[in-house]
Amino acid sequence: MLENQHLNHLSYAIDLCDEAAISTMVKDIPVINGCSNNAGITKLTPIQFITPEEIERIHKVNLVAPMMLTKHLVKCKKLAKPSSIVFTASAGGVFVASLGNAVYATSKCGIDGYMRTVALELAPKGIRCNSVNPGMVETPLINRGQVSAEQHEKDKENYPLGRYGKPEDVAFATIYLLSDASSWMTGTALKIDGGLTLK
Amino acid sequence: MEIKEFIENFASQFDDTPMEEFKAETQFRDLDEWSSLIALSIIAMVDEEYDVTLKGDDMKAANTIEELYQIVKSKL
Repeated sequence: MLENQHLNHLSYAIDLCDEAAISTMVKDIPVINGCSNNAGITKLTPIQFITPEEIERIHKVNLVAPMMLTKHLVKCKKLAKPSSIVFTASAGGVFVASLGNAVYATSKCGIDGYMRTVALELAPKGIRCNSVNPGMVETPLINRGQVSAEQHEKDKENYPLGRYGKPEDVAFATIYLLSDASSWMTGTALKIDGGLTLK
Repeated sequence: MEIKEFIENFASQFDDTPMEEFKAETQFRDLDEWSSLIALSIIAMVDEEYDVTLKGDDMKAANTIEELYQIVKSKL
């Protein structure tokens, strides 16, 4: 929550699965210089147990919500020229496959395709679009109990840098992509994975 | 929920292990076909069939099919 009133920050709590709420919020905000699409959910489900309901639940948050938020920002001309959009995609699906991860992986591959398309469509307006693609990061997303702490410790052996990511590892990369330091980058999927995909 | 039905559902997550190897007292981790994917499949099967969410630690706590059955039963 941003509460420094001297900087005139605004905060909105909305349901990203509600397109009308997205539309209302976007109409209300001033023109912005950057957008980070970071909400995500997952559940490990082997292929034989995938259901349309589970696909819809995960894709609504991971894929449809950022697509619709971007759409409304563009439609309402709320992105400055230049500005930058960052999607939190994943190493999972885009760069590496893992057991039980099909629904999440397809949502993140969807984001990868969307990110590249948005990058191409909005480049003439000076709006850049990139993604951060993290490996496993220590957040509640991976600590929902489906995988035991012991299994996580074993999995960390797959990371050449010897640990899972921290939220700030991803946040700093997002800041970089939002900033002018990356002003000639667009359409890039930036791996942040402690070396996981080198193997 | 009957243990016979639970054993059948448990066994159906395997492809190559003969049905007669699945008994209440079977130590499932000792089965040649046991794998992390089958462990995930058992969790998903329990969710689908019994509407019970098993955690990784629940799986760890059980050594035999019956022990897992009792854990699932306790969460019904």
